[in-house]
Amino acid sequence: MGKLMTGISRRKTLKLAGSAAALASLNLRSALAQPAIRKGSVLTISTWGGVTQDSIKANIEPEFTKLTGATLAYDIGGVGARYNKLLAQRNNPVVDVFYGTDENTATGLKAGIMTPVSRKKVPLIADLAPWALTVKTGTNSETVASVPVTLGAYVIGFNPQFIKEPVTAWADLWRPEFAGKLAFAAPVHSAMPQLIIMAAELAGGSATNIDPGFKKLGELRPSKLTVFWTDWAPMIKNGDVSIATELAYYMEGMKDDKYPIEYIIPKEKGIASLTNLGLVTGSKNVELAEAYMNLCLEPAIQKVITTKTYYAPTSSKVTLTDAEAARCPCGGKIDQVRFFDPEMLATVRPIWTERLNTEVLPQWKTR
Amino acid sequence: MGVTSLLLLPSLLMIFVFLGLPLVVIFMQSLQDNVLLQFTPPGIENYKYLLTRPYYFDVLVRTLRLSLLTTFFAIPLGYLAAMAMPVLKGRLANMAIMALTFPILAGPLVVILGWMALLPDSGPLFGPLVRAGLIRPPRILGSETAIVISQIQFVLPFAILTLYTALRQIPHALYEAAASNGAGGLQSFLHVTLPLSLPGVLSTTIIVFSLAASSFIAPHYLGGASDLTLTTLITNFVLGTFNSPLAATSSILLLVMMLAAMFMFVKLFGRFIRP
Repeated sequence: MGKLMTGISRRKTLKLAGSAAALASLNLRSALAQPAIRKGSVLTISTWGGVTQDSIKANIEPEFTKLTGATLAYDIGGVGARYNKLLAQRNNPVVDVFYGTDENTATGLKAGIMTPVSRKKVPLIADLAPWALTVKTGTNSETVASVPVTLGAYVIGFNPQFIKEPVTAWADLWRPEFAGKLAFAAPVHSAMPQLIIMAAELAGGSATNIDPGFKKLGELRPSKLTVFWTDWAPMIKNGDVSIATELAYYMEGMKDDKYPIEYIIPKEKGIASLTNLGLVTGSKNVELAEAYMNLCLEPAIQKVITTKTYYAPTSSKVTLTDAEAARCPCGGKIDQVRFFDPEMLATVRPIWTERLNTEVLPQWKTR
Repeated sequence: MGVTSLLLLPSLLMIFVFLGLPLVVIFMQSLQDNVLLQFTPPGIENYKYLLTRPYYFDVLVRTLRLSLLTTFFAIPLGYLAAMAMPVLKGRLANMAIMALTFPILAGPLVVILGWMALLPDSGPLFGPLVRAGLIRPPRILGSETAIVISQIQFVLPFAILTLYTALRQIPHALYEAAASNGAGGLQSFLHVTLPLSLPGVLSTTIIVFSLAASSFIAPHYLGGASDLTLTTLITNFVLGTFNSPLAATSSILLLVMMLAAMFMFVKLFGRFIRP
């Protein structure tokens, strides 16, 4: 839910489009995995709109068409709506590749609507950073559960104008000065179970002793619950909100758009948010889907996506300048990001969301 | 079966296939177990669960309250405007019709986005007053007040146009007869306009209440995240936790609430409507 994409700015869209020209001159290694030319074929990908779709259109689609002769069709929307559509179409899917979180992969595999991806057919999986393969079911020497293509970090952002003491930790969200000034993840946010675990640990509990987390969250005083950065962005300007939990790459985009925003990765670590490409069970274009996934792992593609949208690459073969690395959770900053078990999150999410709704939300009385 | 009945057939078939059947499917889904509630289906445990948890019961009561408030304000406002409409002539009348239908043409999302720009404490409506120190930040955005204001604005054109049609159906001869018997404006209103427009008021009330109760965009964008209505609750179940049975149960509860309200309105107005 946290990645319902809308355009950040016209300027950014133009930047994304411009990067396609740079890619055109690159000799992509995906040619090694080239399937038979499929001119006239269409690969349907289910993804977020806005920046994500713009980025795919500008940076990946031209190379994909050059490589395979096929074109892309898009099924656009929030991940929840798209996932439900996939469930409804399970006997005759129209989608071939699903953009989602690693938790979506875990639930998708369990529901039988996604299927593991062959390492042999997507050879660039071999270049993936070890931390990227978080879904254990379906991942073995032959296959991976899904193909992780980008990494984001869920962290703390703030308007420096309204901050007196430095913010360094998740624990700072409970500081009295932020009561009624905090934009916090809504119960349905993709990062919510991880935040409950963080809260539990701050209160002496853990993922397996979660009650202290709910109690601790009940003491928080958010003024706005959010699923997407636009929910709170206007409020950070006027001071209705002075601090917020959000994905770092959105806040980098906000900086480009001149929002008064800074962010830190909390000392207890930020929360990893992996974008994974799932292979839809029953896809009639498996070969094309594999070619697409391989293309998305090309270092040249990964680098362009990183520099334009501030996600971190998942391929270990990507080289970034210091300036580029400074704007994503890349390099040494990977150690400051915590990876949770997506299969565990998928199991607990419904029950924990229910507990948040019935136990914590009545205490918050937020807007 | 007469020709007239045959004319009805396509519409009835359409309603049965695209409304009746989905409702049956949703009802069957609401009787299924799910990740939160384990039982042997079919069963009514989902209904028991939602109706006995204070949090969910509050959602139902809130939906009912907001819909009734919207109806309570929209009907008199609409009635006054509908009474004024026949008085308007020429270009002014056309402009009034245009103004009334514009929100319908623009669609609720466009209108709500306007409200989102207007209602913040720093927005053009309250911002200058807050900055001048004349009022405290009212924090309307994200409150039930914002939802009700927005819903009234949304349903008002429907209310006015429906009531206007009802008022126009009152034969003019009745007003002339009242006047010839010495009735003044107020008496004419109380003994002719009001009683004869009550069937129209009833149908308008049902339309307005149903529109308000099934409204999603206003509570989603203008309401508070912890003040869900049944429509936003359904979305959370569908998109947040993928719990179709509880989403289906909430949908059926919404439908039952609307039918119950309709029944109540018919009973209430029926006592005053002359046969």
